[in-house]
Amino acid sequence: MKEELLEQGAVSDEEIRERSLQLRLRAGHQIESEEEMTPRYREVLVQTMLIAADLELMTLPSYFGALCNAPSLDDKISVASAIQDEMGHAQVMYRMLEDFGMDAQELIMGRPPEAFKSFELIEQDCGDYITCVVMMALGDRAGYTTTRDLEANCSFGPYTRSLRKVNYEERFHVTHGERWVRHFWNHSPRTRERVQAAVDLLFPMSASWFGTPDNMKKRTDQLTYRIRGLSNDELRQQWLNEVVPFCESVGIRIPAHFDSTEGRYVLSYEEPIAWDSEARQWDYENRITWPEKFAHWKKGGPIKRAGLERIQNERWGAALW
Amino acid sequence: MVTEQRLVEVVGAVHDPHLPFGLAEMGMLERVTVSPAQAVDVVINVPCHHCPGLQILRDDIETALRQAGVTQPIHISFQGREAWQPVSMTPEVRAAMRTMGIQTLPSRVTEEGAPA
Repeated sequence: MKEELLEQGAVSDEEIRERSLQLRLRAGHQIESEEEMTPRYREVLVQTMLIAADLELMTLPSYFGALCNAPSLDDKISVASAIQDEMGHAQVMYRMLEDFGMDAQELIMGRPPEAFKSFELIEQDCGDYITCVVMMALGDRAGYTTTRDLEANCSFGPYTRSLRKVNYEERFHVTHGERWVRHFWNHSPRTRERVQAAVDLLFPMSASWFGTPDNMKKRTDQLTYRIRGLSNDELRQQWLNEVVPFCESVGIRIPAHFDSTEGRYVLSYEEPIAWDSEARQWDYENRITWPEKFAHWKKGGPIKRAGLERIQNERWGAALW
Repeated sequence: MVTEQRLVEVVGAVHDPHLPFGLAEMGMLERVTVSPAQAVDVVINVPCHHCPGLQILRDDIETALRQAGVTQPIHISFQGREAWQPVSMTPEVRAAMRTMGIQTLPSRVTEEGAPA
């Protein structure tokens, strides 16, 4: 193996190690321990797991308002149970990061909120039960698309195995969200309006969950190392394939449709779109630049700072409730 | 008219809302009977009180029965004669749960949790 690689122009031992790892990964090899990793592989894996852990953690502040305002005891239990599932996922992922020398206590309690690597979607304050079930139908569907890909394709064995239970739970959140979205859509004109308003807000953010389009992504290390199996656009397509037929079957208006020329579901707008903070709606007419979009993402959504600060300064006892 | 045996098969094949296993192999299906008034009575024992999946389960059972040709009223109860226990699941389901990291009690217990 070493001779062959040297003939192909590899120079250093480090590069030989790197290329033999990539060959083994392409052949379907699963990594089980840190010793088998190259520094670059380790870096990409750790970053992927850290983002995943932060996204799970952000569910708590995002859903907390819905927990407090849930209309019935059963609804309250269902939100509490979803939050508990997500905190369990976060716990598993932060715990795995400790195997890579990170300190979960420091990661959760010690980092400034702006250092958390969450996405705009989960930095929204769901606030009420209807928005929360829309979040489950659209947003958990996006998260579940990502975690299903990781379970099926990730080259790090311990991570894929940890996702089996995670994915059963995410699938339930999606089913639960869809069930109640349909219910509130048909319940009354007022609840229908509220479902539509939540979809109008969250749909483009859910589509952005998968990141920038493939044609502008410079780093594809996640794919090189088979940390993920599908690209941003492929994941987004998978999500559209599932979420558009659901929304159409209910009757919800969405900025996506089936394009018969392309033979696939597509977004009805071109990214990047601007958030009109005065009208509190997406502006599909005036496009912004990607640097402007990145700056918007970097600012963090409404609940990011407040929610993380609350986690890091939580008072217990009577003051808690 | 759908036979009782067929009704049991249909309801038993409906999946638990959380897991990809049927109610029969989950040990959650207590009985499906046709009452003298020709209503279909379904009795399910659920693992958790106030399970957030109950409404989904109710919808799924009704949909499955309607698809199987049931036209009469359907009554679904989640309160059977005997509480669900982990040992109610088939060994296949218990083994599948273990591979996803869920451990279950291997023997029957009393309501207080002592060995039965």
